[in-house]
Amino acid sequence: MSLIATLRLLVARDLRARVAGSYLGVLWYLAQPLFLIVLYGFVFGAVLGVRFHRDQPSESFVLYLMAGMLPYIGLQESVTRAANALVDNRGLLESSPLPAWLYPLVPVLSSAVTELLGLLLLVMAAWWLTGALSPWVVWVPMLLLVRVSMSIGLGWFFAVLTPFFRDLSQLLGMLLTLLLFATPILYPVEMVPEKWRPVFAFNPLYYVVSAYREALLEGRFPLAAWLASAAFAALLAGLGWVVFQRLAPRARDVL
Amino acid sequence: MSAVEAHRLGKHYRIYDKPQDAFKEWLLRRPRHHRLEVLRALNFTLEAGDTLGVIGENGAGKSTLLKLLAGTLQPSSGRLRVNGRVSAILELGSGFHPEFSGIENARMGCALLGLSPEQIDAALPEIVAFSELGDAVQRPVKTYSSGMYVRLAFSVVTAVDPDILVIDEALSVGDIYFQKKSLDRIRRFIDQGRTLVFCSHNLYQVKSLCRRCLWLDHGRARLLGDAGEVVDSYMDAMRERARVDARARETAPNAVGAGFVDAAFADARKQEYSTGEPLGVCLEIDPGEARADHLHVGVVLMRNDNIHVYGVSTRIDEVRLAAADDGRIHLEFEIPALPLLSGLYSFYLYLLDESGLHVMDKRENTLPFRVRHRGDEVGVARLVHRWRVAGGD
Repeated sequence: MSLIATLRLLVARDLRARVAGSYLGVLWYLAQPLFLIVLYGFVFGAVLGVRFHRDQPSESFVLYLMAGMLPYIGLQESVTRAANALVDNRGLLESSPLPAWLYPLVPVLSSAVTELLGLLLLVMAAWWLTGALSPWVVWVPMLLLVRVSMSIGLGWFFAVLTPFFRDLSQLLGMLLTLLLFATPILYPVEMVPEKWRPVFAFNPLYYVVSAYREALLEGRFPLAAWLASAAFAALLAGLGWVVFQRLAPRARDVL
Repeated sequence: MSAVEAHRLGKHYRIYDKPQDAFKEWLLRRPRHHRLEVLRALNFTLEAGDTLGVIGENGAGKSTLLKLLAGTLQPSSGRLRVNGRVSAILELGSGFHPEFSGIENARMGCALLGLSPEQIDAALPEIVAFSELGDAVQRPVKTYSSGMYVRLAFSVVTAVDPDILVIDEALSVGDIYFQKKSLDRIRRFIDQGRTLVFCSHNLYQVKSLCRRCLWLDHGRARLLGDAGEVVDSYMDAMRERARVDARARETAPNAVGAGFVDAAFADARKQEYSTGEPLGVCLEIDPGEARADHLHVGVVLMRNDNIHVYGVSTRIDEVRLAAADDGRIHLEFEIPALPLLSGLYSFYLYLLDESGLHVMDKRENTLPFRVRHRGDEVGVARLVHRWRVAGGD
């Protein structure tokens, strides 16, 4: 059987395993991101009064927040879990002839499924609240592709390093929280002092979030943002692959 | 085309004090590990239909060899060619997820072994039937007993119809009924001309399932050949190691100065016997100041794992000793048809006084000899026996 079919089975099992035995089941995959979005929406939108545009109504603010949070949560969740993929699957690594690089892919791909659920909800909410549907909703698969490739690259990178440095999984949590606040997800770029803005140019997630918002909420084709994010994704995926292939045999030695 | 070809196959692990050292080594290109050689320069070939047993002590490299064959480890040196689909029972059910039902795990297990969804659908009824789990296949695997777990895992691995079946120690778990059932299934595989590599501490199973056997000793092939011969030699070596070497022990001098002068096999050079052959031991005893007919000789036959095979004395058999013209006692102990089965044995000789209680001299663990038998009987000795079938001719 091809690796793709095996991968599909592993992803399906991963998705079901995480909610196995729970009462809400698959609904948790929507409930968790929604909870965060409502929480941040309340703090940043209602309490601090943040708006992405002048005179932006609060429901539009929530949609912007959601368009930024969904790819972030997808990235955060998949990289965190991929980082432990080799450590957690040590038994399978030893007894199954499947290649090691497959294991970090599983959490990344299952995060794509849950993110897709969230995006579906976002598009329907946007349609319902604004009465208009962006034609570039069709670009969703390409947006997701970029976000997933980025996560795969980072996932491989951290997965192969974690066996050497177990501290990484702790550090990674902090780095990813930093990423959330270092990306204009909870606030617009315009709120950031001019002198600091060039820093965003080096933040791959910045382009991803911009592309999501342009395509899903502003009805524009996100040409520049998507191309930039795709370039970053290709770079990260390539880098992750090279590092993984170089280090994986040694990582097996210390598992 | 051979099913398996190993040419100077070697495997070593790099051992690091800290996991970070492995990374530093890669970065700085300076060695920070010590090598642990697990397998060294193994050569063997298995034709399709061959059955190979792998035996050896813990840490001899058996599991590593099986993992190399299963493709979950890569050789560090040499060459290994495996032709055909390999199915391996290494760590049973390591891919199982405790939250999922038996049937779901079976499905997943088949997929991990390379079956397509259609093949899995075709194989599942057979897996369920063979595992005899009944309705329990619908329950999560976390509720299974270890026996049920093994039954399911074994059923999955053997259902995928492999060309080469690799089994590590798996059959030692599960109840006797299922062990027998799995052995039967393995035998069927062999009969169908599949290749089997079987690793077990149960040497009897190795002997009865495998035609050839590889004895691994500290990662090297100590012996490779006919399963019966290799298993026998291995068992000899194991018993030999466990033996308490009492040879050096001194005997306390006795007042009358009686003692053994010589003990030798009747056929002086012969140290290897076949079951059924005669075996004789000639003893020369100096009675000292004691009267020859007041002395007794005890003979104990021991296997090298300290099993008392047999013990007897001239007192028990009411044999009267007498001195010859040279003043010495010349005594022969003969077993006309040696009933012992394969193993290493030795004699314990005792010179006793009239009461049979006081030991005047002894030769312990002397005259070692080896026995080899043909056939598959097991145990210490061949017992005289007879089968009778009711209603037969």
